[in-house]
Amino acid sequence: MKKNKKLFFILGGLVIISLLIISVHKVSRLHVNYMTAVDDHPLNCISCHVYTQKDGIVAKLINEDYLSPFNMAVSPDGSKLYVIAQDGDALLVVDTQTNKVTGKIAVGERPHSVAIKSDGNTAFVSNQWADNVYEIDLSLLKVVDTLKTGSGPAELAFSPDKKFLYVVDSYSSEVSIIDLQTKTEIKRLVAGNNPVAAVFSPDGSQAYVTSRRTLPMPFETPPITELTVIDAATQMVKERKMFDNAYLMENVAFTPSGDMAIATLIRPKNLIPSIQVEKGWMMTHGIGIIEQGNEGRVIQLLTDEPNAYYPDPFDIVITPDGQKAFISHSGADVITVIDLNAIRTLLAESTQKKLDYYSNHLGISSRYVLKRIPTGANPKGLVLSPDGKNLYVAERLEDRIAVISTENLETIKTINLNGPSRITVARKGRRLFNNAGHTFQYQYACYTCHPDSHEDGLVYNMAGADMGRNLANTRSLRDIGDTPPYKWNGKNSSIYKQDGMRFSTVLTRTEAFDYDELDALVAYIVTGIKNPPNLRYNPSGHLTEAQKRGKKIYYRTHTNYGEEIPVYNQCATCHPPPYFTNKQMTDVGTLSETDDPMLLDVPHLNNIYESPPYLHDGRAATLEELWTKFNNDDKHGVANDMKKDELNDLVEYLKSLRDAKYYKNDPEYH
Amino acid sequence: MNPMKIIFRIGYIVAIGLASLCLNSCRNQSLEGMVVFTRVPAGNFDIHGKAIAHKYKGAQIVAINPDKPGVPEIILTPDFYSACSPDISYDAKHLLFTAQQKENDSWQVWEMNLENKTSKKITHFEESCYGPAYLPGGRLVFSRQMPETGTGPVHALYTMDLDGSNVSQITFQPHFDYTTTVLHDGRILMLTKQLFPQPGDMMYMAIRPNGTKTELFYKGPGSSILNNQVYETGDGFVYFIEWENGNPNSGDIISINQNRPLFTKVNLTSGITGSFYSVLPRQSGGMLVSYRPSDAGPVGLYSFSVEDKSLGAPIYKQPGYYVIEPVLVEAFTRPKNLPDDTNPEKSTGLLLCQDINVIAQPDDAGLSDNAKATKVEVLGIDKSMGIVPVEDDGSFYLKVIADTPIRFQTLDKDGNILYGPSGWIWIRPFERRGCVGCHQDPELAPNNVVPLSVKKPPVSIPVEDSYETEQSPTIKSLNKNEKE
Repeated sequence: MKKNKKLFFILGGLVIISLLIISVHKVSRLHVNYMTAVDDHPLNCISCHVYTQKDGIVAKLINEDYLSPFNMAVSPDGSKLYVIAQDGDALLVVDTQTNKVTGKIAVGERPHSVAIKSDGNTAFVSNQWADNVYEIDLSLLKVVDTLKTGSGPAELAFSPDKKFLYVVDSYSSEVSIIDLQTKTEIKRLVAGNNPVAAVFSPDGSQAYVTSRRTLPMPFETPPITELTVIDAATQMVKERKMFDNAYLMENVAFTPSGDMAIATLIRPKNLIPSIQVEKGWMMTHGIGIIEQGNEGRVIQLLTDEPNAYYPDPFDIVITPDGQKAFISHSGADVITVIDLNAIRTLLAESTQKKLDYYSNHLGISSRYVLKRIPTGANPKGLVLSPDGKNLYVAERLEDRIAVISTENLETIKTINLNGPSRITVARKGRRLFNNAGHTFQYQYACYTCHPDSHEDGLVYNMAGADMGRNLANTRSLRDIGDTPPYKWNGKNSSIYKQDGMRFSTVLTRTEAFDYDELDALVAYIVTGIKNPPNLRYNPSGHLTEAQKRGKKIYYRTHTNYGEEIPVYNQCATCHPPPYFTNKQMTDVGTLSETDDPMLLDVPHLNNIYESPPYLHDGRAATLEELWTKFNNDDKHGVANDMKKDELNDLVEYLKSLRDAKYYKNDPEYH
Repeated sequence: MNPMKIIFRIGYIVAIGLASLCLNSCRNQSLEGMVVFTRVPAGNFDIHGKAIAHKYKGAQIVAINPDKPGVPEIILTPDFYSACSPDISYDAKHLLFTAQQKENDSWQVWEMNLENKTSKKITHFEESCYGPAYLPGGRLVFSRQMPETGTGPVHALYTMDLDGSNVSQITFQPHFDYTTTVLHDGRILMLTKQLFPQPGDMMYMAIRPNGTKTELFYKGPGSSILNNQVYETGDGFVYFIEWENGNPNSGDIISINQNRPLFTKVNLTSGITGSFYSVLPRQSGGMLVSYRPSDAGPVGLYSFSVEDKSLGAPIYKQPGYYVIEPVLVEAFTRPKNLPDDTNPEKSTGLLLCQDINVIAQPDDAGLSDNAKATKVEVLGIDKSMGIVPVEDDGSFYLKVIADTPIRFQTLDKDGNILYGPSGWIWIRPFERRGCVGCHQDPELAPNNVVPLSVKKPPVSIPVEDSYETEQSPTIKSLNKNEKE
């Protein structure tokens, strides 16, 4: 009897355990199905619960600190290559004879560019996330001075007389001119929108500065991006050249003779309903040419082909003989070689009308593209050896430099920068994010619309059931991992779902990511995207007086007339810290006639100052317009009682909002 | 029983067993690395390449090992009266082909397991089916002869699962549509020729496997004849045979670049007399080609060097037979599996034209007002389906009945025809398709502007009882002809 009882208990236990296993399996299946929006995803818990760890021991174990070579410079004698390690916060010194890294100098946060003085003894490195430039003694490999700049210093250029350093301030959209004798900024010039690159003409008379973002444009009009011309003698802005229907002008170079300056650019198709990819209906990529004759004629030509696209052109260099240009396409892992004489011939024989036509022509590139040279993952900065024989290519997501012969146009060697040899899941995801291989015919990468994992400032005509409806303002991906749901209509509950099958059906229009790739992409988006510090509006966490007043308005419960503001209509109800979103769907009266009836996802507001235009369809050019133009009935927070000064204060406070990490443990925000 | 008799009987049984084992082992012989081709009795071959579909009576699919000349050939389709058009699966374990089991059967698509050489029938139409090709995702595409409707011997492309289920027609035009290959980007490359209202030229069109986004891929000069066997190599070149300007005596090997197919043609064999019928690039380099040195001899299998554009020695020739359609039994990279954005529950699709007046390359003067189109007429098979005024920016936006062939012609403000009619197109259910202009340069990307037409709901086609449609120049012309 006792034995039977024991057996009964054992059997009963087994049944219960079996039932538990079955139930857990079933619940897990339901959970995974919900999160991925598919029913055949392998029940792999580590996909979401390990790879996406941001902090702690697990995160340290599964991640690596990569170098990510970005921009470079060569010593005047060609013996040394200086490489910016963007994620390594370092300047690496490479011996070009032995192909070895011989030195590593710690620099500031997120270095962007390096410039070497003509004597070869001094380097300047811009620290984009620290708002300064380091002066480095190259014989000692030591930082010897720090020069203050505007916000987001990017490329550096010496004035022709070498007395001044021009620093492109990418976040504050300015150019700082620094006197190298006194090491002080003597002038700051306004330059475009998100400028990044600068180059002086060979005769030293002018500097060209290219921008990435479009200037603020009226709703539903094409982007226009500025190339700022600075007169070297007067150190004043001489001209603002406009590139219609172009943006992301990452870099610019002059020919040695100075007959042309050529910038890389993208020609987006954001105003056309996104109904197909074929025939360049979403994105095209190319170059902008500024002729020095012909009254400074501006021309745009594509580097794409009818069935092959070369997205995210980044850097451009021109050989000392002025015959060839090299362009890095960071979304296609390719260097395009351009025959500049063929370009000269084309320009000479074509009227402006023809050239305008060619700006959308996918076949014209066969006239001037000499070769496509494959590279490793995510080629960024380019630099030529002083004799022009070698081209160095920073393969950012390989931690490697490729060396290409400019004569036979082949890769002759690669230089390992000694980054981690292990490719983590998040690193694989970052490669996928930056590569257009998962879009039909390589037309665009995730990066193309989300440069720096942010947003590109454009509103896209995302055709749903009908065309011309449901315009979508591109959203930043910074902090996106913690702020579901996704899409403005909140249809996607997870990034898995957002980037899954439907993503490939309506956006990339080619084969969907497989589950390993999705794991990697999600891991990168959740753990690998960082928010830059808000040095411009809130460098220390101490609010200005205006921001403090704005904060009070943000958290107010009564109008200026003493009326109680309903809780649902107070700013902090829908936009609570640390992400300043309650992650819910709501209607704030901003739907237009061209929107389908829907609730909208409440966006997060961290670093909101750098994401114009605003609203789901980008109708509001500024934060102020949210309330002055699009909140007549006070549905988007009670604001119509405010005076102009109060609204200014509120806007100032919003601009002060920083990365979520600053608010998570701040009792003031809880 | 006599012991000798017993021994004899046992010996007999063992011999039978060994023979059957041997046969079975021969049957299970691996074809890895072998070349499979179609061997056509000379009298049944279309020597001028004019027939789009390959349906040669008495043809057989044969395998040889080109690297081992002494090894006997294997006839893979001994149980069929005729068999053509072999296509190897991505893992090289299966073979699609089209065949007649008996002389008067219709042609149907079959799949063979290359390990045990057994075949199963996949299509079961009354009409014949030709030219099968594997699609990613366990599907295939083939050409089906359509029931006669007065528009000629129309053939349409179909897709289905490899088990014969989920059949879907993907082309809908009065054409002879025929599969040639599946491009690496996942699109089907279709050989097509208009049949109605008058015969057109042969051309290759690229089309998504769901029948959307059809676009011109390549067309030869004049009335060039194109072959239905096309290959894309890993380095992006596409090879096929073209009888330039319709010259029936000289089929040449043509290469084009997938990146820019319309303008990168190279004739690789213009310096070689005789005629080519098939081309097969090998992954290891070089090519196998079907070639006939002179009008008299048979078509044999030869090697061909692309580098120096020269023929090698014959690999396989057999008197009385023509050898075509070589394929390699070798695994290769699967093309992209393109997603399907159509919705079979919808009955319409949308078409946007950005500017009706964008036509080819502009001269500097541009179009005069008189030469500008202000309306577009949509033509069906046998009637006008409506005239639609275009917006000031030249755009128009239509909602058309899905899977219905339509053509366009542009009209000036007085209703005179400016351009057209165009070629046939169709829109799949829920497809949204765009074009830059009418008869525009096929390499032109759209300009980045919001078309005025999408600010309004689409115009439904057919347009019902509109005055404009009654003024159709086509209808007026028809009426006039009828009166005369």
